[in-house]
Amino acid sequence: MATKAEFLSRREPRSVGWSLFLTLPIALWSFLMFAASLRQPNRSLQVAAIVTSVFMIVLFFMMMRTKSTYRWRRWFFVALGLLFPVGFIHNVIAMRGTMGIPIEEMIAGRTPFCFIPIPLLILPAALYKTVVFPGSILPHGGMSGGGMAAMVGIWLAVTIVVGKGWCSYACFFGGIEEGMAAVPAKAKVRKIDPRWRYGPWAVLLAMVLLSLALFEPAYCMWLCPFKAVSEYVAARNTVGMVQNGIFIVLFATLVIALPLLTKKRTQCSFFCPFGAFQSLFNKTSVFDVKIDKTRCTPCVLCQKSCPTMSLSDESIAKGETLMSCMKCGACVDVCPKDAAVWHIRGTEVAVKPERARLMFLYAAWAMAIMFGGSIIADGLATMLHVFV
Amino acid sequence: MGFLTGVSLCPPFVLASVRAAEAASITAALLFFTAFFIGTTIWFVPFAGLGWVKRNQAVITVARMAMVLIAFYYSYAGLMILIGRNAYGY
Repeated sequence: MATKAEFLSRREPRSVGWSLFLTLPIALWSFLMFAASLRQPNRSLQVAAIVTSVFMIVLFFMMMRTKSTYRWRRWFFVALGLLFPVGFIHNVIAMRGTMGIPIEEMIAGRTPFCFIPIPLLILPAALYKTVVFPGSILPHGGMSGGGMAAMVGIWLAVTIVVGKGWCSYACFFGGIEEGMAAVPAKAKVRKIDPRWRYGPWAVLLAMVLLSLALFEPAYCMWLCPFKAVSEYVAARNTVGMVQNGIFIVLFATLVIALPLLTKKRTQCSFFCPFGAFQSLFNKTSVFDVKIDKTRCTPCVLCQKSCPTMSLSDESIAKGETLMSCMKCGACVDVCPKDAAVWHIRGTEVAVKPERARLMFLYAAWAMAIMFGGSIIADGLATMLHVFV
Repeated sequence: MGFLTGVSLCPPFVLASVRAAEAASITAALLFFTAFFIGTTIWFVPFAGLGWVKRNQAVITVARMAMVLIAFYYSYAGLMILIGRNAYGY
């Protein structure tokens, strides 16, 4: 059987000139996004902005040139996952002197806003007109209902377009496990019970109900694995230590150990409630990935390569991915028959799939630069500031 | 606690029983209970279609998994109440 690399090398590359031309809109967008950082007096910020801008443009150029998506996107995504904690931890330590957030700070609404509790906010907001997330998007804290609503509005606008693509192009947590999954050459654990795919839905249901009952973002308080690398509970008693213990165990298991063993994004696939919620928006997004049944053999290489188990025998037979597809492009890149294709809803399957890929990538990469790019630049600036 | 919750009487039902007992005749009491039945049934109409979800294996699996998580939380919260603390140990 031919390897994945051999399949990729068979795809004829696009010309350099044409690839550059296709990269031009993204280059302009990238310069626009980082222009403000270039005007800052801080040298670290300027250098970080230039490096990040070039990094994002080069990756997009390579996507255009090679006509493959996954491996180039992964560089961005892993960088995002690794550099987010660097910038974030530095900021909270500079602001508060510790990574631990005390209860008074939470009550005062000084928890930085995160998108993961968005589904947990809906029922309390609808029934009691109250936002149960004790946080803010303002740099110095303080509750800002309007600011938070704006943030949710931006997320909604983006997510309606890219659907669950958010989880592969904007989420600043998934990159760590994607990096871990890339480390081993082969998976040590290959048989995974498909029922685990329901895990995110179960966590979502439980956390939505508990958040409504307790009037707090229950996931953030008890189950978020990423508290281990962002902002833990300032433990003042045994319960605080138990909470932090849960965060660390979940992080070590779902984000480090299981991706190393399975080569899958296990936290995203089996646990993340936001991922389940985001799956619903795959129904509103105009972009999806289809399997052209006339070309599919089926060799199930796509199924094996999918990092989120979003392809099953049944879905391949139907010519589509499961609802949990994060549009990372792994299946499209690996397919030896070009049967897995990018697709725009309402059009024929496999008619100009490269055009569908381009249209999706312009939207997704613009979002990646806007959210992820600024986070990468912040992390880089922190490293330059601290170490250079 | 689950058993006690199960055997506790529904307050509106108790109220309706008292009202029916005070009625002038059996006919009036039956009429009152018929009206009570119709009036309270309306609230259950939205749940009439929920039976279909039991046919979906995915929904059953998700519900069972969620039930385990919620059970963990309330077992823990119950234990904390027994030792006189809230869920955060204060």
